[in-house]
Amino acid sequence: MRHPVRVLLVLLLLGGVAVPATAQWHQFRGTQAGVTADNPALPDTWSETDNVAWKTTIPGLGWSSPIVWNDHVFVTSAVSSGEEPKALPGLYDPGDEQGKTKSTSVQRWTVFDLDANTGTIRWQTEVKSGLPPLLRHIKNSFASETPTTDGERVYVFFGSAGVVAALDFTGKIVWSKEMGAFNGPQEFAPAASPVLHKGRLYVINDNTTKSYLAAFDAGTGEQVWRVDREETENWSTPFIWENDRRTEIITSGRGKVRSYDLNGKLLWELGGMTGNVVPTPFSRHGMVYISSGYPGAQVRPVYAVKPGAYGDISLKPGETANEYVAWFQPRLGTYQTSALVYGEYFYTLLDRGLLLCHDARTGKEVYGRQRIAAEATGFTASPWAYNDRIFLLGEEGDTFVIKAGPKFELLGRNSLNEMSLASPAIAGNSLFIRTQSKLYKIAKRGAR
Amino acid sequence: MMVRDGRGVPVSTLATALALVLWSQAGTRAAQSPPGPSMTLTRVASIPGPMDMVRASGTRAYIVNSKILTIYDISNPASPRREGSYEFPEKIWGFRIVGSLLYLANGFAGLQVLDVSNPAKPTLHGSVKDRGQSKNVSVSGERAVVANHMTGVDLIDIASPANPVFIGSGFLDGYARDASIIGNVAYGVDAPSGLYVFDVAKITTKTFDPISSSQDAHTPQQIEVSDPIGGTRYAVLAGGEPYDPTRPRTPGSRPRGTLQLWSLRNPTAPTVAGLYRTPGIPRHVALQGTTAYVADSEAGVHVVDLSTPAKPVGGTTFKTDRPARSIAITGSTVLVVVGTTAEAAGGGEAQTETLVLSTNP
Repeated sequence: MRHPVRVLLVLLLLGGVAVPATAQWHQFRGTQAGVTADNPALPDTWSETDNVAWKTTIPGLGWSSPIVWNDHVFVTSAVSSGEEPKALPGLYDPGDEQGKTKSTSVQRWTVFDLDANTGTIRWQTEVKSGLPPLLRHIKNSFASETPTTDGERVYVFFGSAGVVAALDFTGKIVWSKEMGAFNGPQEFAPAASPVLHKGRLYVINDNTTKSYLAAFDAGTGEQVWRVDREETENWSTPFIWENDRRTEIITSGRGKVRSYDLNGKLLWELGGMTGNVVPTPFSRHGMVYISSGYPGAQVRPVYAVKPGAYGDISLKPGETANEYVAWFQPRLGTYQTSALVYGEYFYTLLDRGLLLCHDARTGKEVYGRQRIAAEATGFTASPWAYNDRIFLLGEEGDTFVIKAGPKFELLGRNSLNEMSLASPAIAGNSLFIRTQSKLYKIAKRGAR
Repeated sequence: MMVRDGRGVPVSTLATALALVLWSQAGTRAAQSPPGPSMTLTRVASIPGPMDMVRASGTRAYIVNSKILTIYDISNPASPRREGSYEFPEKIWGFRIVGSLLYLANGFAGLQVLDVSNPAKPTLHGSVKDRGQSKNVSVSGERAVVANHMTGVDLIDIASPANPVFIGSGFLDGYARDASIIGNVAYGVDAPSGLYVFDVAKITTKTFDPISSSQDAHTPQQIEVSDPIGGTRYAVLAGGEPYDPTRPRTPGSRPRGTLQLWSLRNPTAPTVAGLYRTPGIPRHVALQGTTAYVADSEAGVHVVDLSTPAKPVGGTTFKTDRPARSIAITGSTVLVVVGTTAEAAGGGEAQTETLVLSTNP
């Protein structure tokens, strides 16, 4: 199959809001921003030993998410030759240095392929090695960008090493490009993931040296185009929005949200974001949802944007909507997590352990802040959903299971007892959760 | 929660409008340099660093350097004498003094209670740890409130200070900076702009909500609740300028500093009573009656008369050769930490000391 992702997306479009159960989860948050089709075989309870098909230790440190293609599970990691500073879970003030850390150890930026059936590491390929040229935030890693795949190759971007590469499914590097390693003013190191669409790989890197969005030929690695960006640091993964008007690349940033066409031409832009932009845009109900929400910022916006815009669609003072902004909430945005739209509801997971629910079409509040659990700490992984359940993975490795719908109800808690920042993958009957040191395949007995 | 007055107008909106009017007036007053409390601040001694913050009570000064708290006898301010010290598990982010007990916010180690009745040998009296990072603490009677970066304002039962018990947390919208408690009313401030009031008389749940909140207190770093002035207590906030959504700050412009006085006459609807624009950026404030002593960063020490809360009046300024970071007042002795910490100096050598000043002529 030459373009399996395209076929998958076409199937999704033809199927409206129905979400397929597949054995693929090819990018950060999958194709449906954390939602997968109802499937009674998927697990809703687990522990370090219960409903665990396998768990495998992954060397090094990487907060990138796993991706899955049939029986291949890919993860990336920066394997250090020495001791790395240890991060703690939760939200905290790291002090005057703002959490910046320097590594003096050689890193091996590595891609792992695990057998989805057994958890065995099939191969590992070092894409680059050396002393990291950048500082990083204590809670970031040098391998936070989630890879992506089209079923033929796996594509990786290691921003802290300044390299983008494609590997085939045997672990051989097909092509590799040096992009330069750049940091933002806070020197927290990058984390935005690459995205793939119709034979092109899109890479974004906002920094203080030369911010860019670049398109590569996925097959050859040739740069097709590159546009400069007036941004200095963001961690948000771009979103390819195939809407009923056109296909566009949505990028979220502190300066502006910008939409580009597939040739890099600016289509529209939207101001009003806050600093430290992390959440990834996504689409549902014919709109794209965009947000940012650093808790120390005055404004933490969520925008629902309709297709077809051109030019500056920023809200004027006092406006809460306009021709293209369907709705706006000024203080709903999240810091690290991306929001989840499941059915008719827009769920907001605040980093300090609160869940809110709004009408996804109108932005009206369904329920306000609900403390998930008294013992819940910080949240960085984005929520996911299936079988009328919302899953919220906390930084201490506890997944809180919430009943989907207009009333908040905590159904349970599943603990893996290790720091967890990566958003999981869901494929087939299984859930793949990455903790700081391990990758778990969670599946019911008899459904593996 | 948006508090509304009887006409349905959001109180926070009114507070914003009032704040902006007062802000404008504050600028005018500052330009005219009106007279304020006149006193002479005279340097009588200094205590070598490194150090981060200082508080004082009676004849003792308590000076913090990261994890270490050191006690000085300042009964003769011209000759401070080191008595004892205690090292905590984590960095001390804030503390307050109640008699011979010190209550310290100790990051992930939570609330620590130190007995300093024997200042030569302080001993740990009690502690309680909750999730999150403790940033500052305030005590009233048998209750303590802790500003917690993660959870907001934590309420602690300290009926037995040797065995403090966590009761619950009130969520703050932003990152908690400081908390205060007077009787059964607790206050919290957060970044970027929140002032919250909690009725903690009957809290028994793990989580609780404020009885009022405002988002007009721009970048408050600290809250001190005054003694009654004309029968009303005031929350004195040290921080930035009031938030004006119609006038976003020009990128690259220098932030401005204010003391913000909020009337707590009606705890369900605190209102801005007065604003005072300090010459620098207030990093820390210490109250003595109706006088505020401000560690005003590059501007040094600035003294402000709060006796008419609607019209705070600035007076004496004591220039320091390095930024003033923390300040304490006891009797006629003012202690001010000046300098740059090792962290702020990018890991270089700390250049800090505590100046001992006398308010006596």
